Amino acid sequence: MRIRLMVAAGILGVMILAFSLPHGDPSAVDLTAVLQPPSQAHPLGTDDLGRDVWALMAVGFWRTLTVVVTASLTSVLIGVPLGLIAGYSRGAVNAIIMTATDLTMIIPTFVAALLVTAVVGLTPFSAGLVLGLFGAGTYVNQTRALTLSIRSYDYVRAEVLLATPTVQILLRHVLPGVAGPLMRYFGSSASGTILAYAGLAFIGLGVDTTVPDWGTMLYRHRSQIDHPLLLLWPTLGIFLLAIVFHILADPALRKEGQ
Amino acid sequence: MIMRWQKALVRQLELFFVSSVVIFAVARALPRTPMEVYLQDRGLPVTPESIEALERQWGLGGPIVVQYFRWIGRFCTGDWGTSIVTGEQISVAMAQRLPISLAIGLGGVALAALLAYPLGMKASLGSRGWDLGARLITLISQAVPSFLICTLVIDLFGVRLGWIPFFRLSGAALVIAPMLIVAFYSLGQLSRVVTAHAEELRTEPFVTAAVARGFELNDLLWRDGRRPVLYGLISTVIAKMAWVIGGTAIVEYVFAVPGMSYYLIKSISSRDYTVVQSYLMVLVLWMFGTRIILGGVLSWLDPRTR
Repeated sequence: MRIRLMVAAGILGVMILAFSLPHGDPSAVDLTAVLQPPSQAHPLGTDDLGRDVWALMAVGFWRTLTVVVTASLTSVLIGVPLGLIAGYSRGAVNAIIMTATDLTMIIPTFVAALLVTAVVGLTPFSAGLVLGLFGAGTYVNQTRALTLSIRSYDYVRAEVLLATPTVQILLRHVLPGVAGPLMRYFGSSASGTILAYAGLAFIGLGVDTTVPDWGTMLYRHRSQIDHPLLLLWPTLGIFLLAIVFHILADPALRKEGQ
Repeated sequence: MIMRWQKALVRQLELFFVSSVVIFAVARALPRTPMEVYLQDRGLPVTPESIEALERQWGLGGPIVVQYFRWIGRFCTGDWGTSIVTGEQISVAMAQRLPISLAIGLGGVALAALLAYPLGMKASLGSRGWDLGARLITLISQAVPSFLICTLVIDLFGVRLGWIPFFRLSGAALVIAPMLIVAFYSLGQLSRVVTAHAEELRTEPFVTAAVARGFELNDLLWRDGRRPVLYGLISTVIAKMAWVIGGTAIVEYVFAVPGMSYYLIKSISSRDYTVVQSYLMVLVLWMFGTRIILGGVLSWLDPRTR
């Protein structure tokens, strides 16, 4: 268990370090050197326009990471507080929050992201924001369910009787109990975000084709299957990044370690 | 029981009303009105007179509240208007495409649920190989984009082996490959849910007591554990229902299947707002129906919730 966590952290660390190294200009086209195999000058070779694949991969990595961070922060910062409030207050506030949550759960996250990014343009920030906003519903539901069960425990009741301010009860006594189970969901939602962003870039509504993305690379090279390496690199990137979050979160793995 | 059911129905009706208002409001708040899109698409001059004529033709004039009720009234009676771009009846176009999307999404999830039960139970009770296999499937579905698997399948069976002419299929043959891929992508998660519930059952007092009396753990979990495990599986399937129509968009897109989501992607790129609006309403109707039906199934499986 500890070893797997360290492997996951190691993979992420190596990716961050490697993609921080200085790389060539990802938009530099060289038509005299198209579809080159890996070499000293181009560690991962070149694509059909003679662009350096390593540079494309690096730009794609940072964009994907931006999406994951934006989406996760949006989901957690919106979903957890609303779930805490809904679970603790009941009444009208609860009804309003739950109706809003149900509304976002009716439209699949991916469809919402397709619609919004087609109108405003597909950037890591816009995609992350929409994916995070529509992914927040599950956080609200889970946090609310956990809060409902925690608030009936004696130690929370005692705090209520002691007239401890509600905010303090929520932050100090309820939140720690909610955080653990939510971590498990966090990992799978993060790897889902990576795949969703790759899918959005693949479909390419509102996409700026001059900016490299892992999904855009897969779309470009899907018909150049004679050069499987061009498909392999973005796939490997998506796979490794998604697997890091998968390992961090798989409940089965956690159980083994306990 | 009846009370609960009525309450659930009222709740879903409320949600239907609120979401239709939101969808209507968002469509109206877009910077380009349908009238402008229509006129600009056809290279016609955008004059106040032509906008007014179209408004009258489409029933988009008058106060906004009246417009909303006129629109929702027509929607409920099956008149969904015509596409701005192609001019076809939207309800007809949707009716043609819905069965295809449902076959892919619902068929895929149903197939996955059928396979997930034995696979998940085997992963809990059988040899370690089953567990590793189930984990591998889960891992692939969480870390490899589905459009890549689709591309590889098309390349292998369509191009290299030449067995299936993917883009020239029609009828039922059209949906088989996409359905199998959707099933594969749902199988991992669903089988993990079954395994988790089976593991939980092992520690239940009635199971340990029966094992102490000499019953086989295997028989117990397959026979007496069926209901609680199925309950867990079906609640997860309900959560997946929202995903059935829209979530398969990429698979439909890669295989170029003429389903709902492929229609949506085409309509978004041609700014055909009336189609997008109807698509969202179909999603709302779909959720409305599935929640009520599957809620009934759940309460039948677990009498305690009645």
